[in-house]
Amino acid sequence: MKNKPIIKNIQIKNSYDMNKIKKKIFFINEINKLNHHHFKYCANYRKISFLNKFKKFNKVENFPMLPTRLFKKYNLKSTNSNIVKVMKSSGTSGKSSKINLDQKNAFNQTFVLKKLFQENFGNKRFPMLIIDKNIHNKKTFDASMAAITGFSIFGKDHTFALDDQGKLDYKNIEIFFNKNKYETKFLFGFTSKVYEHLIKIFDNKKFHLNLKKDFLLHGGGWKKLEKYKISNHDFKNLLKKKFNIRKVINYYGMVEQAGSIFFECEKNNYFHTSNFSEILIRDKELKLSKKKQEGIVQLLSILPKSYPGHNILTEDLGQIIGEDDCPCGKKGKYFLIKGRVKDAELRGCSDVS
Amino acid sequence: MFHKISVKNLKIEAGLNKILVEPDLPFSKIAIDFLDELSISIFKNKKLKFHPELASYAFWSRKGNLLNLKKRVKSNELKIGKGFIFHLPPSNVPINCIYSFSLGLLFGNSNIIKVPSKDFIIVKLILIEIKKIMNAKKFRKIKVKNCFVRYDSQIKEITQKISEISNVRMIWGGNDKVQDIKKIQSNHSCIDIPFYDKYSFSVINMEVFKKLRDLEFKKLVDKFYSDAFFMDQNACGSPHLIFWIGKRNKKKINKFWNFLYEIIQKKYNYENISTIDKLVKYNEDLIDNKNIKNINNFGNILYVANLVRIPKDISKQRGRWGYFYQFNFNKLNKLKLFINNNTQTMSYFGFDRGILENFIKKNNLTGIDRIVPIGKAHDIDIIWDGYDLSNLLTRTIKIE
Repeated sequence: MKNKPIIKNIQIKNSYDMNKIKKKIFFINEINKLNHHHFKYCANYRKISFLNKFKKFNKVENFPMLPTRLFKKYNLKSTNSNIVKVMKSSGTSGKSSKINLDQKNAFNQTFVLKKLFQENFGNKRFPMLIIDKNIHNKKTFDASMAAITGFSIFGKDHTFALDDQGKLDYKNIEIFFNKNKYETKFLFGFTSKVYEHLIKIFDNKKFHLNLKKDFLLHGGGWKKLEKYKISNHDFKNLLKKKFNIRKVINYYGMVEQAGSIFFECEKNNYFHTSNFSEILIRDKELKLSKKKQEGIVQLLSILPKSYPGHNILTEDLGQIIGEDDCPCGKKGKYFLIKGRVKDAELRGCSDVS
Repeated sequence: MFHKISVKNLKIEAGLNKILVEPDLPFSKIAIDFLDELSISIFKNKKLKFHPELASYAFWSRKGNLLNLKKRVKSNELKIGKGFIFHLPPSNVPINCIYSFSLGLLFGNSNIIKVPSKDFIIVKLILIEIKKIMNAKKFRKIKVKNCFVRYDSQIKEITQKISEISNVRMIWGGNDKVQDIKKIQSNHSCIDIPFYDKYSFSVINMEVFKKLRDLEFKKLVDKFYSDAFFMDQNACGSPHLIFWIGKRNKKKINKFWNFLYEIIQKKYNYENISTIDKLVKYNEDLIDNKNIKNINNFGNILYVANLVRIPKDISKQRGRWGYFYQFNFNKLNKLKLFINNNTQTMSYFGFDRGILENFIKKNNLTGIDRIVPIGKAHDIDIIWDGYDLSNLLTRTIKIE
């Protein structure tokens, strides 16, 4: 490919090897550069972040951050190149975000996703079972499709576990498993779909699924599962009990920062930052929270260049558990996600019902 | 005459579904006694009296205050309750349904009140008290004349059924809700009293303000705090903008906001979402709002946007959870251009009544329903949103 990754100065073997001090220097440098880039190319970003003049920062926490909701209201773009892809969030509540990708940014995302995936799961392509409907039959391109397409590059013999009506397609599943008997299989799906279809509905009598040697990667949040009150721990246990699966990995990511996503480590089930990403936790005055204190999640990524998504304030709650010392050996911060920021109980006279 | 309300999916929360319509004279003894009893029961109940909204209601509905109101509305005309009143309070101001009911009752009417579908704890608590008091023998008349109901607003048939027998509909809510209800046909005798989306602001006389002593200064900011942060700056009387009138004194103005910031930190109970909302609003204003010069951010919990000009429709300069706009005019009269039909409360500091009266008299204004001192932005009264309810909720009988 003609494109080269932007991250020239980390031609790295290991994406999880930067310790606190190294990372700090690296991020201050990278984010200052990105700030300058977006300041130059995105008029709205200019208005938001510095008003009139560009300013450098020497602390990561002082960089101006954008609330993710802004991507729902504005078309934010920091490039003169062609936009090759517009990614949209699934938008469970109301409007969805729009993320403008140019060729280079799209390449970088894929490059980093590939690197992270391979470091976590290995270098080859796995037969892939997707716990979803066939995306090629869907009419719109949304976040779920983006994720499926994104992860598809690590798979082969892509098979969809659900038919077009959204029901389990046992026959198709059976064919897939018979065909790939001796290989490690890669199962992928949204947390809610995995729960609904594999944990709740799947009937082992119809086809006995043994996933002992396989692995499942799931993400997209727990919001839809709130009513079942199921923990990550229970989720894994139920799957293990039913399908004998040992390796179930949750990932966390935002459409605003696709590519530099966070995989859970197998040992402790903590999400890990990589050299490409950073997390901060803020309290309700947006001050940095102390370690282990739950608060609003702020995410930084060095990838977003064609849109100003390199430093965002999410509406998720999280908790940093530690840094550089996770028993799994990865450097960087490790953390937990604790759900969504609670919606406001709206009070006031402008009433709707 | 009795009205029987028998429809499906309607839950009676207090009262009976057979409602006696037998109008009384305004401020009847039984109405005053009933509300006074309710007031006492709130003050007696630990669970209730610590809710500031209930406490201020109880203060309003005590006998002494009601007798004062009675004195105020005394007229030479002969007035009697209009009959049957349908109250459609907003679903997100829990206490409002109780005020609306109280006003209907005081002016001699039978009432049906739709309580918010959402389960507000204070509504639940106060309904328990109302039920208890209604069941006393001496308030039998109140029980047969008043009914609190709960139903899903989507079921238009219920609203329609009740509207057909109503003499007045008190419609509290946003513009859309008012329009929706108006589309539902009512009795030919029925009048609608719409309380629609309103905009409120404050005016402060710079000359008086800058001379304030420390204690008075603090009192004023504290009152502004109560006005603004009651209902998270989202009630119709909540100020969104301060007009500083007179020669601008930047130092004193900053002192005002700095002290407000201190009070917020001490008193305001806010959540993560309000901080995010304000940050979003802040960014939106920086991107979109061409009327803004700059925005002062006090610790991410109080924002004050300085306007360079006032747009024709000021009602868009609206904040929540502690987000304000400010502007400086040399004279009060300059405000007149920006007042429209949607303007509700102008809360003030440092102006004489004469000046304020003249402001209204001279300027042919289409809006401003209330002019009250800062600190009283939400005090409910028989004159509300420009309506004199002592006239609208009664019939005036000509007798010669």
